Amino acid sequence: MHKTEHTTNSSNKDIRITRWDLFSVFLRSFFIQSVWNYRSLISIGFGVSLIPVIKKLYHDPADQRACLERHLEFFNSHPYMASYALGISAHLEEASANGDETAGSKLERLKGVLVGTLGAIGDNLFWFRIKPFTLILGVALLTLVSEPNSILLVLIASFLIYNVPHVYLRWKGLVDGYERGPEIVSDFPVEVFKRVGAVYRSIGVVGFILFLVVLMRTMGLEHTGNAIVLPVLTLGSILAHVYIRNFYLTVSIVLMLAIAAGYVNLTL
Amino acid sequence: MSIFTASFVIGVLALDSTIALQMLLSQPIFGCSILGMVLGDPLLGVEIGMIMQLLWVNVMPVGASTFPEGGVGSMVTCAIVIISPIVGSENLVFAYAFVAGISVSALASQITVLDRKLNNSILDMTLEAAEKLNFRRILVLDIMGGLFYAGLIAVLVAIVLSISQWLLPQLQAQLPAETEMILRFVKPAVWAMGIGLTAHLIWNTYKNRV
Repeated sequence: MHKTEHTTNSSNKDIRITRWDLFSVFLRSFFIQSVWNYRSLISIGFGVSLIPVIKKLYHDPADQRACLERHLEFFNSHPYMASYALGISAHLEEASANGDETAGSKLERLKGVLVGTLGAIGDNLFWFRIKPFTLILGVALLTLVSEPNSILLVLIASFLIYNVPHVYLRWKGLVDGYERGPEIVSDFPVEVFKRVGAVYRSIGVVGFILFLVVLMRTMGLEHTGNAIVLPVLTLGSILAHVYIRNFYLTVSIVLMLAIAAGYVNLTL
Repeated sequence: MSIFTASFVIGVLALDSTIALQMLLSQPIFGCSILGMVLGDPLLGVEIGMIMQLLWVNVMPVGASTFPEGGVGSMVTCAIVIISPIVGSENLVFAYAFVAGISVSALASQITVLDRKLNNSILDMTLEAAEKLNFRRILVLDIMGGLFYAGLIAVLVAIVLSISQWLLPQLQAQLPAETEMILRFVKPAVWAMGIGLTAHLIWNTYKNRV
């Protein structure tokens, strides 16, 4: 839609954001949480990310100041999904700079809606699916290899399995948000995200089962005691985690059980 | 020198946890591998990273929640094992490094909270700079926020590594020789904890609890 840069006339109308401006916002968005604080959450990173857009759209210092202050107000989102909000903000700021007087109020309303929506989608997709299951898969694959080159290859593959969708979504969210504006809010590809999450989970679970088989075999070969201790301590840690629900207490209990097992093994 | 290098690398990688990039570089399998390469033992780095990783897969850095900084803790475990000044007490070194790493994960989470509180002051300074339309100052404040956190983590790590360098030879000298045998199941126990927590996470995802 707005892919080409138009000339700016004397009354400051028909200014267009270019792909280069968006790329500049994209790079800054990797630091969107750099000054996370309890009063305005990620607003500083959000405002800083939009500086290239602000400089492009407004030339009057009063307009620049007003725009910057608008985006330094409270905002929160999942850090990757925030790119949708950045894109929509760029779209509405562009409309405002070109004379649309309703854009400002639309933006304020929309940012309020986006706080909950983008947070929930991003948390479910990345923090609860893609991230843990990529890491599980990474550990599983590492148990299968021993050559330094293969290890490096597994690490690079795991890094890409996570970061290709991550970086793609940051860019796509920004571009889609800018091109489609507020209408994208009612049209987030939630079903696609769910399917992607399910694929990562399935691959991660297969990897986890494979990992368990390899680990039991390797540890059992190292010492027969491990073949008994490992399942018992695993069960202990699951029970402790379910019933105590405190990570540090769970770790302490399992650690004490391991030391007790070592002591018993010594005395036998 | 190793302590300085390890502290610096861990401080920088800690930024990836919530402050910058968030590309998994601070996760144990990546962070410990990088640290291993820097400290001269990449394979040991990968091994420690694998052992520690599953402990932290179900830690979610969601919003304003306080969560253990497992990546930082694991990298401390890794650094202690690699630069350990003692030989012949592998189980003792690993058990000590694990406890130190777990403790650091809790301390580092408090540093995150402290940093976020201090960032309230940076917000005030940023708003002042916005009023004066000083873009350069806003950018500097933004960068400072991140660097301050990295500095705090690096100092914490340097203190823990320095104590470890002093304490490990003392422990080896004071503890009876049987300690190695008694601590032999600590490494399998860390695997077991990771497997247990991961199994619980998988169960919850199928029950749609997360």
